[in-house]
Amino acid sequence: MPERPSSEPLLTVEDLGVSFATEDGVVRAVDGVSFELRAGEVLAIVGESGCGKSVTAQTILGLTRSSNAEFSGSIHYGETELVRASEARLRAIRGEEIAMVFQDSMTSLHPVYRIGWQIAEQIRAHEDVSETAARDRAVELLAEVGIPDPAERADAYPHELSGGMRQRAMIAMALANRPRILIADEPTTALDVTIQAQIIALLGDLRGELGSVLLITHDLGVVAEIADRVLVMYAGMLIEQGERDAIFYDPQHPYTWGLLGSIPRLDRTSGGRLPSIAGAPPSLIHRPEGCAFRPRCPHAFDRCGALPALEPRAEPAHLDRCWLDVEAKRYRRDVDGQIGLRADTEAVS
Amino acid sequence: MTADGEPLVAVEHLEHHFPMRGGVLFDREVARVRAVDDVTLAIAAGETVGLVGESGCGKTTLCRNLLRLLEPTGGSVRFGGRDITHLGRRELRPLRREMQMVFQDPYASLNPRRRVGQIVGDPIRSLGEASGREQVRARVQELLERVGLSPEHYNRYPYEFSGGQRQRIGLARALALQPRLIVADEPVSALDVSIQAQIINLLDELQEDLGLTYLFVAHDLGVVRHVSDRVAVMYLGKLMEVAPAAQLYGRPVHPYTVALLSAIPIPDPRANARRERIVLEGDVPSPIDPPSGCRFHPRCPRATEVCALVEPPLVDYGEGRLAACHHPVNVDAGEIAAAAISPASPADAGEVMPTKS
Repeated sequence: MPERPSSEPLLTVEDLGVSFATEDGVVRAVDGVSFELRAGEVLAIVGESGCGKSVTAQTILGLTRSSNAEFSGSIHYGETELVRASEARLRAIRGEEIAMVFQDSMTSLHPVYRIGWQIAEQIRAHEDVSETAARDRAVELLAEVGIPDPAERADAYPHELSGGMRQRAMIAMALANRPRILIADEPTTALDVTIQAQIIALLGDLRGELGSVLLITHDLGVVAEIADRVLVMYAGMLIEQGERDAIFYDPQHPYTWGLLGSIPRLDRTSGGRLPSIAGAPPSLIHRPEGCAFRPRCPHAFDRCGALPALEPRAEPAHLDRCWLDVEAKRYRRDVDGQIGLRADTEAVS
Repeated sequence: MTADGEPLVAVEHLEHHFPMRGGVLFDREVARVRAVDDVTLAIAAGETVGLVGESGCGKTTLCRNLLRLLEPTGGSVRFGGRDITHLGRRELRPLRREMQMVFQDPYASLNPRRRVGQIVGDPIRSLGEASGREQVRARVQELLERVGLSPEHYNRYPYEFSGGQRQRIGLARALALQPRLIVADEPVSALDVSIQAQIINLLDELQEDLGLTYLFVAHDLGVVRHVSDRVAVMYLGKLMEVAPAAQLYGRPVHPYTVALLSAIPIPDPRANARRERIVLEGDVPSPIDPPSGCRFHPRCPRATEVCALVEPPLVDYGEGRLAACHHPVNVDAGEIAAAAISPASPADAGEVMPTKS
């Protein structure tokens, strides 16, 4: 894989919009999302169910295309624009240049083919190699992702492997053609904690070979562990973007404060109520005017009726969508010495 | 505590083995899944006990036995001082109102064809005091308000609600009969973090107001720490460690507890980098043919010869800290010398006291 200077993006997403026509109305799943994936970095997209993080990731590989879907904006991978690329062009890119690991390994692997065969097939789809050579590569890959007795395990069917082993096999398959980008959509969510730790350690070990990783997750612990940069999504939009430490230690958007504050921490003694976020995420059919988080935000004021742009407010590389003054934010996000979202603003004013 | 100082609910040397049947001509038992294997645990009234462990460790089977949704294959279950291990359906019926369950999946645990009013009202109609439509309706609406829903939701269907709201409906249904014990099996793991925090806070509030006793099952050790007074750790059907929450998280005794705690990345990059991480090798073995001696020994970084031969007894280190390990962590030689084998220790366990390694 040719080394690129880290400043040059591998993937550029510009003003991406994805909407789906449904019986109830048009669901604007992704709206005006722009970001770059740089060579060699792990970029995490975080957010809750329905925030558009998976739709964004799947649109990169054309997996959201359907008769009721409508797209706007662009995704550039090198010379290719992926949103409007032909199915044939996408097929050449999938697996070979950009690979994907899904959450549910049971439904993502074919149940009636042996896993070694599935990996070999993936290799042969993109490279002209003999069946034996592909099979040998498959066994090597299984060894690389830490599957014991890889030569024997290659003959196993997916149901014969445990969840952790299946997830490793999926990663092996994703690595089969040495892709430059790996998209991992909640790769550890379905796993037990000790197995999750194994998979995170594996992703860490493989970093050199993985190229760039786009990690989709709701687990901020996993983000703290392996991400370089973080995008926070809410109601289909990016609301904050920055270096990992900036997001964790100097978060600018009240929603990010709420996310960080509402996690019960195993390294903190419990004291009273968790600072939660009131209400529920808005419908993507009737998104509130202005800032989408306004109805749940205790810090909202009259300016929030207009949508703030995603722009640098705290630091040049740290973008957010919140009208509050940076100093006011730093003061307001403090809840008993921790970052969180206050239940009300009485104490603030 | 109940009047006579007994715990509200207690299981003693509880066993639940599921038979696996097979055979060509005759239906015979070919193996047994030892889902719960000699577990002793008591929960005092008003207490919250957290139960943690990985999938297949027997957490859910333990709960179902404790609620007598399953009949134990060994040991006993006591509720409010009364032995309920082998009570029949009819005898259990009056007890049902005192113990209720909240389930993990708020989508699957509510009947999609019934209105919220019916879902929450059914237990009141079949077991409760209220009778007559108006009385039941008033009680249901009061419950809906109690769990943070609005009384107008009475006539809605489950599909009209979000995951967090459905979990509130599940709670209202559990509270309908004014139970003393609520067993919550992964009540927040299907929910998003911001909603999860709302439900945890609601559970806290209800406990304060109604004096409930909780058995809180979860795999998220952060959530468990936040809600629990005491925490029990299970592995392959056995109890590995039981301790007050602060002790278990601050000074875990069992290497499995240590590994579980270290496996979870915390949402704080700097603190995460400082922490020592233990990544356990391999998978949880099958409960059909569990490892000999200590069931954790094949994955344990501290295992020695004795671990494969002798099942470690559950040792009481004082202050409510119990752990079953031959080579405990975070206890010094003095504490080991002062410790004694707990009566809760499994019957098959050896008499070998732990050693400092």
